[in-house]
Order: sequence, then structure tokens, then C-alpha cells
Amino acid sequence: MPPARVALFVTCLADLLFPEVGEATVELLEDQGVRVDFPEQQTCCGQPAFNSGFHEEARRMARTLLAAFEGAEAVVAPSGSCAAMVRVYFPRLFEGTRDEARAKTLAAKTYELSEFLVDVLGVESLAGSLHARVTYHDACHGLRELGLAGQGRKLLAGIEGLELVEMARPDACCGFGGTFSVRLPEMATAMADDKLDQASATGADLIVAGDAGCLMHLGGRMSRTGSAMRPMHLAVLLAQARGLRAPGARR
Amino acid sequence: MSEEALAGTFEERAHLQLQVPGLATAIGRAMDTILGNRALAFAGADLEAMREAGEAIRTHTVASLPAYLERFAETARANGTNVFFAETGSEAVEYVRGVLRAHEARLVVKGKSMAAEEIGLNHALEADGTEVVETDLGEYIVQVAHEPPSHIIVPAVHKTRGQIRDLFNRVHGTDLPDEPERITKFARQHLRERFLAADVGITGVNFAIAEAGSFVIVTNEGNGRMCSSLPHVHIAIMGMERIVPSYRELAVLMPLLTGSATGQRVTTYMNFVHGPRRPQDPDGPEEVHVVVLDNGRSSILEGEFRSILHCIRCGACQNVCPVYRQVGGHAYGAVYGGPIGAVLTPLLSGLERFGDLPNASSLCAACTDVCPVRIPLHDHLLELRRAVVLERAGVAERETFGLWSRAWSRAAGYRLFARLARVGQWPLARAHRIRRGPLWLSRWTRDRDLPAVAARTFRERRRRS
Amino acid sequence: MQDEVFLTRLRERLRGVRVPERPTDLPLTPASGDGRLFERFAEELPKVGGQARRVRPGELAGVVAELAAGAGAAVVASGLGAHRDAVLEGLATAGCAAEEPTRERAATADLGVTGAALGVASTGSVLIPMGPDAPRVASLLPPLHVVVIDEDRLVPGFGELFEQMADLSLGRAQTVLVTGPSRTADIELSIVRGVHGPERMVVLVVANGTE
Repeated sequence: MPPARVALFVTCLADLLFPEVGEATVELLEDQGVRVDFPEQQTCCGQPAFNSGFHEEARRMARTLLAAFEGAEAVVAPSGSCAAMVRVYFPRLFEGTRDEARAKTLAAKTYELSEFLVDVLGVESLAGSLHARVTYHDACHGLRELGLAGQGRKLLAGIEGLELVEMARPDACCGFGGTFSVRLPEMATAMADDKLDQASATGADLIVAGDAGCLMHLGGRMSRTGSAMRPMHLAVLLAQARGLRAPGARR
Repeated sequence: MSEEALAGTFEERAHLQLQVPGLATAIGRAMDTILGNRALAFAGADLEAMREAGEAIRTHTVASLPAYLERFAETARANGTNVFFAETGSEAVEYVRGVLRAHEARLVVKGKSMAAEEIGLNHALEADGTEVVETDLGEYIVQVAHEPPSHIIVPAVHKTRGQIRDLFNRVHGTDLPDEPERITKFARQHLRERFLAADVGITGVNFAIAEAGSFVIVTNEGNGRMCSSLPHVHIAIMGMERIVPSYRELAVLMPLLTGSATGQRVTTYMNFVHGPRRPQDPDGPEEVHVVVLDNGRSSILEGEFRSILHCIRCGACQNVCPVYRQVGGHAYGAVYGGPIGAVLTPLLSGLERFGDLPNASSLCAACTDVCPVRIPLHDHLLELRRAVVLERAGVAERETFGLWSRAWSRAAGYRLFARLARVGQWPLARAHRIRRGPLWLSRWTRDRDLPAVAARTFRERRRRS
Repeated sequence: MQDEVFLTRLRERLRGVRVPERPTDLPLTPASGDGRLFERFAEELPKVGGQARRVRPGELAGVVAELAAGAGAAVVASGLGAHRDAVLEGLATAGCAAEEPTRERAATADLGVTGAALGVASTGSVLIPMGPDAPRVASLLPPLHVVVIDEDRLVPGFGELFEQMADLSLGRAQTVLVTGPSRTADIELSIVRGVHGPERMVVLVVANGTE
């Protein structure tokens, strides 16, 4: 039986910079008949510190998630990267500490949004309407750490008027990589430009991904270079297409 | 590699490579070609089963490495091959120099060997006044051009046919057109003369076979055969972990190697060297030497990084790395580039000098995904970052993460942070974008806009409603 | 002594490490055969620029004559078994001198003819153990390499190849698995044949049975 009630792991990026992503996630889940709680103790999964080699510092932030999601049946995040941090790395991060068991429990019940919709709720297709040419970026952590395989595209397939065009290398890293994007900004930008060249070659209006980090990085480059394309989070696109929120509804 | 090429940080070297016109395009084309061929090479096979078997073979072998090396030395020597165990690079170099001196060798022809590059062999031999000629066409081109190779499989991929033509015409006084066929024919004939005149051939080793006392060298061009057949002496430099128990393991490892490295089912030549020429043989070297090289590998045997020694040097991780794609091998400042380089180089040559290499990665995990023997490369990068922090974290960075993690260890601190950021960004934000970020955020805003903190965060909106 | 110091260091570093079992059950690979022999061989070799032809024993001389048309000299390895006479006849018909495979002769010959111990159908490869009956230069220096191999020496794939490798290499200094002509992609990734080895390779698979 799929859970009737889930806890939202909004992610610090979405919470602070892209609140519409969090809202669209709630809208989509409620639209599927799932009640969504938002436990406020959550701050951040600690991935930036963890990826930089600062494990103790990562644990300090990560513990807020252990506390926040204690009682939840399932936890859903609009981010492959953050969901992967919890599912794949929390057991390792808390190994040998007194939070080891809690971390494993949380890891086992944490999902990325598109995989939750398709694999747990069993959504075969989502009806909706949005007229746009869209290209899909397979964000790395969701793809390779969580093993996401086509759930995002499956959800887009039911949207009327939406034309999905593939980049030459949709699974190539966009260059965000969290701290990588500020440690090696020139590299990160070169990788973004590679991705954006591929995207514009498809003639797409929108670059869609399930990760706000990738979109922030690509979007930041697009706006700096005056690109005609726009970044859009999968959750926001689907919620708009289903009429759950108005286009441009944000600040 | 030249001293300039090695200097500086990854960021500085990458900066130089990012300026080279056409480099990323050339490397990208090589990568895409190889990856396309790889898909064909493995079509119809259960690649996952092969990778599992490859991993199992390498794990077993490296865990019992001393026994297999001992066996190899026994069987190889029984065949008449000389086996020398070199703990350090300089021991290996001294041994080779000794062999060359004993034969008064003036001219050496060489096949590709990463291990030989590791120990700076060419440089040392040239300092002795020996002429060393690289015989792999791509290596020959970059040797003549006095440049380091830009890609492990196609070392001269950054050069156009016109540039290669100009290079050869200038150096050899020829009048070649810019047709690959004609240029190659010239190289064939020129290098043929060197092969026939050489005193010593030096190659690498793809795998030693413990039970047989033999070793195998794979090439497409035939230069491996030339180096191991025409001169009187053949010296093979072997990383100590490059060994299989018997021939049967090659039935899996060879297709994994060639499929991953060049996208081929099999390379043109698989050259099995059993020993020096037999008394009745009409040709072949009179002496065969295998130099088994440690050079820091044994320190990796102990501990969490041991699986990096499973590497079969296929280069697949480089071929999928989005960072390598942009800058090629030079940016890594050492013999090995890409993900394998980012893990192996700090382990072999020290965190002091190469502690920044594990950060030369966005942790996209494409390398782990593709490795034919399932080395968890991106996990090793993460572990190395931790090792670097434990050993030598900068004060500023430690302070930053310390403060940040304490502030965000409670929701109240996090919410305060959001409010402060909103206030602090007020002078910087225009239409919800920040074009000039403060402090280290300026590294972001050099080339990209940054979104401003939302007027109302998700949790603030949630509370209101 | 040197060995012992080296190996002892390795043993110390590996102390306490559990050695997993040596895998016994190895999976199929793209180089594994599907049981079809000549048909598969003849499909695979052209993919890498070589040619495979099936000939009846009585046709062998004629085919060799075709291949040697216009050639001035050939080096012929002695390890051709029953086919040596037919090969020499074919060369003579074409007016091509048959020479001893010394380094000097091989360096100027137009073609080299050798036998092979084994053929691998899944890849179009032939295995040539080097020695007095198969000098290295014969299959390496001339621009055309012709191989004469009995059809019953074909095996399906790498599994069978490596099973036989040790036996076939007994007493040999070198064994080479050759798959097509020499090639490179080093200049702008465009394939060029005949770098440091033959530019052309033809494998004549002699059908079983008499005639």
C-alpha cells in the first residue's frame, strides 16, 4: 500500500532560493491524494560539508533531518542529489555513531519526487497541458546514485503540447557538483557552456531537470549570457501543466 | 612531462588548457568516437556480468599479489627471462640503464608505457646520450612536437592533419600533403628504419601471466611486435599489479580492456612474450627483461584504497569524465589524468603536492559507472577529500564549515541565516538576481548570475498558509 | 634476496586481508563464440579490414597465384604443413620468387605467407606461435600477409583460445594473436592501415577433406 502521508524534505536550495519547487512538490503530491507534512526542524542534509571532506560538520546539519523525519512513513525530496545524500551516504556518514540506526532507517524511506510518483504511487502518466519544446537534463546523482531511469521523462510524456527533444548527451554533468562550482568556477562554466550548446542545438525553449542545483547553475549562466532558453524544475512544470499553479507564480 | 606542465595547482593548469583553441572539441570527438565504438564492442554481451567477473578476478589477484608475483618470477626465469623487482622508480631506471650500458646501446625504440613515464625513463636515458624513439604514431607525433600527450589512447588528437603535416615537413624536410594515409606511410617507413637499427626495444606490459611466466602487449599498429622482435634486447616495464593468475582470466579481462579502451572486441595484435629467442629461432631478442615496479603501489595495498590497484589502465574513466573532456590530461599535472589520475596520483606522489586533484571532480560518478572492473572511483575521491581535510585542511575552510554547520544545526539558526542573507543581499540583488557576489561567492558570479534569497522562503510561506 | 625484500613488504601490507576465492565461472563475452566457425570468421575479419576465403585444397595454388599476381618476391614460412607445395606452386605460377624469411628478405618482399595454429571465429583472429617454422618477420614486415590455416583449426572464441594457449606456446619465445591488418586512428581519428605491420591480410581457410 502506498503511503497516504509523507514528509517533505524541501532541501535548503529550494527552501531559500526556489520556494516554488517546494510548493509545486506539495501540490503534485496532494493532487495524488497524499497528505504532506513539513517538519520544520530540517535544515540541510550536509552534502556540501560531506563532499568537502568535513564529516563532523556534515553530521551536525544532517542530524536535523534525523530528528525531523523520525516519525514519517516516507520522505520525499524534489532533488536527486539530496535524496541520494540521505539514501546512499547517511548510513556511511553515521556509521559507528549513536545515530547509526536512525540514519539507516531514514535512508530506507527517502525518495526523490519522480521516483516516488512513478515507483511508489504507481503513476503511469500525468495528464496535463503545456505548449513548449523541452529538453531534459539527467542530473548525475539521481541518475547514478539513486538509479533513476526514465521516471522524469515518463511523467512528461503525458503532457499534451509538450515536445521532448533530447540533447546529444543528456546525462553529461552540467558542472554544478555543489562545491565544485565555486572551487573550480572556470571548469564549471566550461561544462555549463557545453551543456547549453547541446541544449540550444535542440531548439528547446526549456531545460528541465529534477534538481534545483543544476538549474541554478545552468540558469545563472543562461541569464548572464542572455540565452533565450529558460530553466525549469520538473515539479514546477508538472504542477503548472496540471493547472495546480499559475505560470510565473513565484515571488 | 615538462616541469612547466607539472607546476601549479589543478585550477591553474586547467586554466591554461581551457585557453587552447579546439582542444575540448578534439578531446570530445575522441571520447564520443571511442564511446560509440564501445557500445558496439559490447553489444549482445552481458556487460554487467563481465564487470562483476572482472572485479572478482582483480580483487582476488591483488589480495594475493605477492604469491602471484613470486610464481611469475619463477616461471618467467625458467623460460630464460630476467625478472627484476624494483621498489622505487630510480631502482627501475638504474636497472634499465645498466642493461643498456652492458649492450652499449645507442638507440632505443619504445612502445607506450605509462609505468615508464611514471619513472621518467625516457628523460633518464636521453640524459645518458641514448636516442629514444617513441613508436606509437600518436606518441611519435607528440615526441617530435615536444609536447606531452593530450589523451591516453590518441595522444595527438589535439592536432589537425595540417599541423601534423607541417610538423613532419619541418622536422624531416619532406613535402607531404595533409592526407593521413601519406603521412602515415612516411612514418611507417621512417620508423621502420629505426626499428631495424635499434639496439633495445622497451615496452610496457598489459598483463603478466603468473602460471606461464609470459606477458602480453596489445597494440593496433604493430609497434609492440616490432619492439619485442627486432632489437637484440627487449625490456618490459610492468606495474606490479598488472598480473593475472593464468591465461583463462584473459578471456574476460581482454575484451573488457579493449572494449573499454578503444571500443574494440580485440586489438589487431595481442603479443604474448614467453621469453628470449630459442636456439633454433631465426629472429627474436636474445635477452628479455621484465622490470616489476612498485613505486608507491605497495603503500596502497594496505587500507581503504586498495581497489584502485585493480585498474587495468583502459582509460574508460577518462573517456566519460566531463572534467577531462574540457581540459585533457595535461591539467592533472602528472602521468595519469582523469578520475584514475585524481585518485592514484595523490596516493603515489603525496597529498602535499596533489591534494587538490580529488577536488577536480563534480562527483558525477560517470567513472564508477563505466569502470570495467567496478572500482568505486568517485567514492575514492570522496575518501581522499576526507584524508586531505584530516591531514591538511586550510584554516579558512575549516572555520567556514564549522560556523556554517553550527548555525544550521538548529532550525532557528537556519532561519536567522535566511533573514540575514536577505538583508545582506539587498544592495546586490536586482530583479531577484545577484550579479556580483560577496567573498567566495564572487567565484560563482564571475561567469554566472546567482539567484537572490526568496522574499519569502518555502517554510515562511508554509507557516503563513 | 632482492625478491624477498620486495615480496615481504607486500606481504606485510596485505596482512590480515581476506583473499576472496578465485572466480571459476567466467561469463560469456563479445569474444565468445556462438559455435559457428567459418561463417562467423568470415563475417568478423572484414570488419577490421582483413579478408577470409574458404578454399578447397585443390584450389589453394590458384588462389595464391591470384594473390601474388604482380608481386616480385614472397617470403614463405616453413610451417605450412601439407599446404607448402600448393603455396610454392601458386607463387611460381604468378612469377613470384619464394624466399627464405630472413629479415633482409622480409623487409623487401611484397608478401609473407605463414600458417597459423588456431583461428578464432568470434573475432576473425589467427594465432601464430613464432619460431623456426614461423619467423616473426614473415608476418610483420611485408605489406601483405597471407595465412593458410586448416578449417578444423578454427575455434569458437576466446574461451577455447586461452584454453589452448599454453599448449600451443610450449617451447615458443612468442605467440601472436593477429586480427586483421595493422591500423591506427592517431591522425584526426581517421583509420589508416599498414602502420608498423602489414597493410593487407588475407586468411585462406582450407576446407577439410581431400581433393
